[in-house]
Amino acid sequence: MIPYPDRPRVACGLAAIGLAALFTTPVAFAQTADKTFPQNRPTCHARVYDAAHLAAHPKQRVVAISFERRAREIAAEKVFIESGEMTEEIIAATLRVRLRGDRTSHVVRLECEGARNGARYCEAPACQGGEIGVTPDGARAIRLSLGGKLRNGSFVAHYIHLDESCDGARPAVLESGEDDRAFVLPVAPAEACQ
Amino acid sequence: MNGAILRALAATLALAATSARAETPPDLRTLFSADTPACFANVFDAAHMKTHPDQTVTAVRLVRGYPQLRMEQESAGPDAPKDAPPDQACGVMAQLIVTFRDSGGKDSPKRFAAAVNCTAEAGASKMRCGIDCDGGGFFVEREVGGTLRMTLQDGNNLRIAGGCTNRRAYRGLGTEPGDRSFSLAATAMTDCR
Repeated sequence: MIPYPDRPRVACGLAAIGLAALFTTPVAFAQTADKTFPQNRPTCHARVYDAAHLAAHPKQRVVAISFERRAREIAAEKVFIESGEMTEEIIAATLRVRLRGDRTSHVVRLECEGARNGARYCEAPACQGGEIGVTPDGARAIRLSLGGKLRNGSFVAHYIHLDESCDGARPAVLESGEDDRAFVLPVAPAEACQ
Repeated sequence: MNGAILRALAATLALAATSARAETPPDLRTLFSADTPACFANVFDAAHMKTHPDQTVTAVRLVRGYPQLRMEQESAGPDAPKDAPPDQACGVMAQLIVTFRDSGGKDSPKRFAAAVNCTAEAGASKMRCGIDCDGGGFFVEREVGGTLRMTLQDGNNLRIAGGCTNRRAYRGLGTEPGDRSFSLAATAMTDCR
């Protein structure tokens, strides 16, 4: 995980309102997160985009995407917790992605940590640098996001590596592009995440 | 006589100008503009690596992208003006991404990343970037031609990846002589992916 060095910045920039938010948001986050990703319980969120959706979104590369926590991920979470080193709530997950025109089913292990704005941010430990955001979307869905808008309204793109080739000649990378910026994945049966 | 006075005056002014430059902190805005992603990178090819056996790093990237810009805004608070330039004292957030010649393989990361905070102190000729949790620090400065020179602090190595909480993926940078200073070119954000 990559906790950002934000402590000096608290002294630099946070107003009283911001400071209050800093201390109150994690509580709200934890309550929401527990419902979405309960400890010791597997979860599966998945979505397959149908032909009509893809026809209406010709620039969308993702045709199927799932976010799963199974025994392997729950075991990893226990290691995080029992290590006593974690300062934030961490989850492990497996992201599976199929892209338009690509027969490969990309599988990437993720580690996700909480943030002040109510989201978790997941990175691929094998090929660090990018991240994908995860936020609850109602009671029975999650929203995965790549990049986001700044306060001035401009969108800043982002990415996550889908394999371990990293700096290889043709790394598999999911980029936010024009139509791959957010995906809403409903709760799904476990087999939908295979 | 007048010529000598003028030459002395010119020399004095030149000295004063040099002194003023030395005491002026580097403007972070020349490296990192408000709300603008930036990528500085160097990916070393096989020929370079062959002629630099004391270098284990095959790629270095210093990037300020979406997560860093978002977190800067979160830290600045809701009342901060839009498009405000980076605060010289507070510095800017960035990410250092390093790939090693020998990394990768089973359960071993191929590429390592560390979050850094870069600040310019009064009187400094360089910016210092520090990795949280005492992961070490390095200096950055502009080179002639616009590239950015990254140099590890004397006597110190960097600890990258893993942050404060995950000891499994730590990696030291700087133990080899060829891994202590890198020239990074400003390039497209896609080169920092």
